[in-house]
Formats: sequence, C-alpha cells, structure tokens
Amino acid sequence: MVSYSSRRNLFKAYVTWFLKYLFLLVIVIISLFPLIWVAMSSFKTNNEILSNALALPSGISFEGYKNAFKIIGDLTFEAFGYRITMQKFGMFFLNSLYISLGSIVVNVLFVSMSSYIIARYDFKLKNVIVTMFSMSLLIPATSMIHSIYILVNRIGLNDTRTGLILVYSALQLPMTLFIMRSYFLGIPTSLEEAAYIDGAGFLTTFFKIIMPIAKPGLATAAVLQFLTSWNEFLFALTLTTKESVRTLPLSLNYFLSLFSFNYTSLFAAITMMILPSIVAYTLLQEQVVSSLTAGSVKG
Amino acid sequence: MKKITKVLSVLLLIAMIVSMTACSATKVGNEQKQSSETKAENKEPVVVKFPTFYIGSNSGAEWMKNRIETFKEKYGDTIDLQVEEVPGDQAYTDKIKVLLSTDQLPDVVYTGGYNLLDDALVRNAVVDLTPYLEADPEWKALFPEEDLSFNTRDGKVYAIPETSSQIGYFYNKELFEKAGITSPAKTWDELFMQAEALKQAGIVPFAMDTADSGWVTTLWLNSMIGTANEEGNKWMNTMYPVDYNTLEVIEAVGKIQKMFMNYTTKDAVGGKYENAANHFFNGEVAMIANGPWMEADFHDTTKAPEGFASKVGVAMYPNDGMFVSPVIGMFVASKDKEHADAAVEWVKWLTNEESQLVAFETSGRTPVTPTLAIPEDVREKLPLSSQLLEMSAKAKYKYNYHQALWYPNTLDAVSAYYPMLATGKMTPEEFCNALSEEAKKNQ
Repeated sequence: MVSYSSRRNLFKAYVTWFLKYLFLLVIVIISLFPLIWVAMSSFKTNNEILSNALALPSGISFEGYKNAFKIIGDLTFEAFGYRITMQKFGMFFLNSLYISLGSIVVNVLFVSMSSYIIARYDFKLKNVIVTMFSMSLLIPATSMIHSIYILVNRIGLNDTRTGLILVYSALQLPMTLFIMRSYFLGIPTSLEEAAYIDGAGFLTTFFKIIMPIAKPGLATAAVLQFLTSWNEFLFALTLTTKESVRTLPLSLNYFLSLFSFNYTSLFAAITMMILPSIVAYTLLQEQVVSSLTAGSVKG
Repeated sequence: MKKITKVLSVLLLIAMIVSMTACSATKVGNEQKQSSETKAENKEPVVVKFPTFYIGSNSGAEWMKNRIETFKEKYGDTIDLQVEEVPGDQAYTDKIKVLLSTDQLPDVVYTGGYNLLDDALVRNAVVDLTPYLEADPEWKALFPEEDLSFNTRDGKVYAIPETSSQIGYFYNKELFEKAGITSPAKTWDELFMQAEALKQAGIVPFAMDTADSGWVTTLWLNSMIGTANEEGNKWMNTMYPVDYNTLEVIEAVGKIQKMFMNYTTKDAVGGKYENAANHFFNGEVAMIANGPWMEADFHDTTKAPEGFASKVGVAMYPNDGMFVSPVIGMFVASKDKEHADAAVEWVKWLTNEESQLVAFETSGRTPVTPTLAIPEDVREKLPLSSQLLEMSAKAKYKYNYHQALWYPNTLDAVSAYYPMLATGKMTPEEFCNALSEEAKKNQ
C-alpha cells in the first residue's frame, strides 16, 4: 500500500519534471525559432515570405543562394603577381572574421592588463580614471563617428582592417575593463602572495597564475567583443571605401533598398553568415563551457 | 563517435568557408606591365571619386552599371573613375553627411532625391556648374528651366538632375471590373465611392503603410493637399513647411484617417512598403500609390504571379493631380579645377540622352528631358511608365512629395503618429499640430 506522503512526493516529482522540461522547451524554441525561420525562408519566394511568414516553403529552391552571390557580385584585385577574382561575400566574411579575432586579441590582452593594475594597486587619480572609463559607457557610439573619422584619417588608417580593429577594440574597452576589474577583485590576493614567495615575478604571476583563473571573465569579454565587431555597421561603412576591406554586415544592405527588396536572397545571405559560427561553436563548445565553469569553485 | 562528429564538423566548416571564399587567379601578364609603364610616361588619369547606392537589388543598379562600364570604355585613359559601393539609401546619406562634416566629400555626390545640396552649400563645398552649362549649350538644352531653377541658389546652378519625379497610382483592372468600376476616379468623392463599392465586393481598396514615413500612404495625403485648391497646391510645392495646421492639410489628414479605418488592410498600421506592395501583387488590394519604377516588379515572378502586369492600369490622382516635379540632382564637390572638369564629364555622362533612355528602359526612371524620344519597343516594354509620361503633360495640379520637401524629423514624426491617427487615438487636428511642432524645432 503506497502511503499518502509517497504519492504526494511522486506527484511533486512529476510536476517538477514536467515544468523543468516545459521551461527548457520554451527556451529552446525561443532560441532556435529565429534561426530555423530564417533558414526556411531562404527557400521561399518573396511573395511567400510576405504573404505568410510562418508557412513552409512550397518547394526547395536554391535561387536565393545563387542570387545572393549574384546581387553582391565579385571582386577582382591584384596580389602576389596574380589577378584574383573572388565572391565579395566571401571577402566580406574573411574580413569580418579577421577583424573580429584581431579586436578580441587587442582588446582582451591589453585591457585585462590595465584592469589588473586598477584592481590590485592604488595610485594617484585611480578613481578618476575608473570613473572616466565607466562614464564612457554612456556615450553613444554614433556621436563619436565624426571625431573617430578624423582621427583614423590623420593616423593614416582609413580604409584598412587595422583601423577597424583598433576602433572596435576601443569601443568595447570600457565594458571589458568593467568586467575584468570586477573579476580580478574577486580573486584572492593570497594566490599572488604565494607566487611571489615562490620566486615568480610580476609578469609570470599575471600570465601564469592570474590569467588562467580569470578565464571565465576573459571568455565573457571575448564574446562581447566578438559580437560588437561582427555586427557593427556604421563604422565599417564610414571608415572603409574599398570592397576588399569591407565587412559582412554591409553585405546585407545589398538586398534591401527604398523600393526594392529581395528577402529570399537576404535570408540566404544571413543563413550563410551564421552557419559557420554555429559549426565553429559546435566544435568548441566543450572548451567554452568548461572555461565558463572553470573558476566557479575556488579554493 | 564524438571524434567522428568533430572531424565531420571541421570538414563541414572548411567546406563552407571555401565555398564562400572560392576564387580564381590569373597571372598578371607582361603586356599589362608594359601598358602601365606606357601610362606612366603619359599623364596619370585624373581620379574622380563617386560613391553610389545604385547597387545590389536597387532598381537603378543595372543603369548605374551600364553608365560606369561605358564611361570607363570611353574615358578610361584620362579619367580614373573610382566607384564606392554604399549599400542602402539611408546608409549613403549618413556617410555623405559624415564626409561633409569632415570636409572630405567625394568628387561627385548623387543626391538621389534627398536634399544634400543645401547642407553642402552652407559649407561652401559645391562647385558652381553654371560656367560648364554655358560652355555646352547642347547639354544645357536637355534640362527644362524649371528643373535647373530647382537646383539653382543665388543665381548659380549647383546640381544637375538626370530624372524628374512623375508619380501616379496603379490599380488592378480585374478588381475594378469585379466591383463594377469602369474607370479611375475623377474626383476625391468619386474615389471614396469607388472604395465603398470595392469594400462591398469584398475587395480591400487601398494599400497603405506607416513605417519609413509611410511612403504609399503619404503619397495619397500629398495628392489630397496638392489638388484641393491653389493654396493647397502652393503648400505642396513649398520647401520645408512649418505650419501643417492649414485647412487643406487637416482635411486631407481626415481623409487618410478614414482610409486607415475603413479601406485598407489590417497590417497597414506598422507595415512597411514591402507589405503594401505584396498585397497589391497578390491581388488583395485594388490601388497603390507609387512611381513608375514599380512597373518592373509587375513582371517579376518572385513577387507577382505570371501575367500580373497585364492586369495593372495607371492613373492620375483625382482632380487631375500628379506628382510632376524637379528633383535635386547630382553636384560636384571637387577641390580643384582639374578634378572638377573630370567630375563634370562624369556628370554629363550620367545626364545625357543615352543615360536617360537607359534609366527609363531598365528602371522606369522618368527622363528629365521632356522631348526625349522613347523608342516604340521601349514603350511596349514599359506601357505604364510611358502612359505616365504622357499624362504628366495633361495634369492640372502638379506638386512634389514629402521626402523632397519636409524636414527629416517631420518625416520621422509621420511614421510615429500615423498609428495613433489610424486607431483614432489622435484627431486630424492633433496630428497636424504635432507635425507643426516637430517642424518648428528646425528653426
């Protein structure tokens, strides 16, 4: 005979199980639905997309993909004694990848070093510097376009990938400083003291003791920097002229204009943009997740 | 299994990246090296910088591509035309404004109907084109006096247009027939009677929108104002109006409210141009206000069903009204005479008769030269655009449209307040007052 309390516990367990999986299902649908919808729409005609956004495509057609390359066109340039012709879309993709990864390295490496000093040491005007960087979070990026354009031109980095790497690193600098400083403040000083006692110098302590512990913070800063660089449009448009240095967000505007639209090709281009990122994350997800949880249990 | 998945993922990633970035390469030959040496002995071509948004899916892309290729064929040895692709009209105006503020305008700025000229003139960045026009009477003769005057400031011509604005509205002949309508309305009262007849027949009368300054909706609004009477027509030809509280404007806004509430689709509120156009292509609405560039879409089977073009008619607005107006053309911002001379050659190439004909044929853009002979085969290919050209000469009331005349913040306000007007949360008087308040902020 099953007691009342056992039945009650069983019921609670079932309800908990149901609610848990219902919540997970909702999160999965919310996360996956936009991606699936975009990919599905890339096989529909413009008429089908605008008439019934949620309906399945009437047939599988790759015209959108073919037209995406055709609309953006190709690019011819000379390098190493060869005249090279390639799809502009591909060039934009490589540029976005290079600039995003470059800005991650510059931003995370240099800002983590300055964050460590701000977190660990006292010096004159320290609070002023911290306040200044924090206040710059409130400045809209678009209000700086004029000054940044002049500055980048003056230092001769206009229309270069390096210029964009530096600009994107600078745009995300306050956020990375904020994240890393908070993280370094949470690391016990006893670890560094132990390292110094063992004979480690400042740089050895920083790179071999502190940075590995700060991996979750670095991962967070790197992800935010990547998102900023990968999706940025205005500075990429204003600071570049040559198609050979342009980035992926600019390519999406080729499909929409005031009285012309080609949603099929637009969605095909978006699908091609996001697929490599999804595959790359699938490959690296173990490292990302373990990095995020690595420092969660200290001591 | 995990290892196989990883290997497959890596291979898939590589395959995707290679397919997107695949390229071909050919060795640069000695002939080309010799050609560049020969060029070095002669004078270097003059560089003319030209950004354009006529790329990608823009209706003018084919025209611009033709112009660039033919210009380079003819002038490639003396003028190096460096074209910058700027995707998106709004992105283009944003970039030009940044370049203007940093005194780095390109040699030729194509305004595309947006008023960038006056901002550039304030900074003394524009070359006076009057001497170039005087030196080439054949070129000058292409442009009606009205169009040159529209681009003149203080007696000097600063910009040259290659098109003019001629906009009517399109209607579905089949749906009209179903509702017992035999011809487009001659008066606004008749138009609303036709709307009621269409509604009774189960057909939505008007395609409308509210987003992006509500282009198709505001064309109806502009026409109601422009054909009301002489005062309304004068108002609809005034640059940067500040007072929207006139009788003609309030009455027109009242009619727009009636259209929103009774005679359009449910998704008009919040809808964009694409939604309005799609309803028309699907045969769901009977009328849409738009320009001749839309005709190409009637033949596009990814947007409209096969044979849709034959069901479409074009008409003037009631009271014989039509958008017939000059546009702000392209201007030269070169800093020295050598570059200005080369830039003007490019402007001439974009505005000559051949260019206007190609623009009309490929994108329905109305030629600025009224006497331009349109070949019969082109007229047959674009019957609706050709009819609009003929109608423009017969229009009693001619006027311009909001995007060319109103302050940018007022255009934004239109999109913001249309939904409130459409749902009855704002009266026409309140709507007009709100637009006036926005416009006054510019003074």
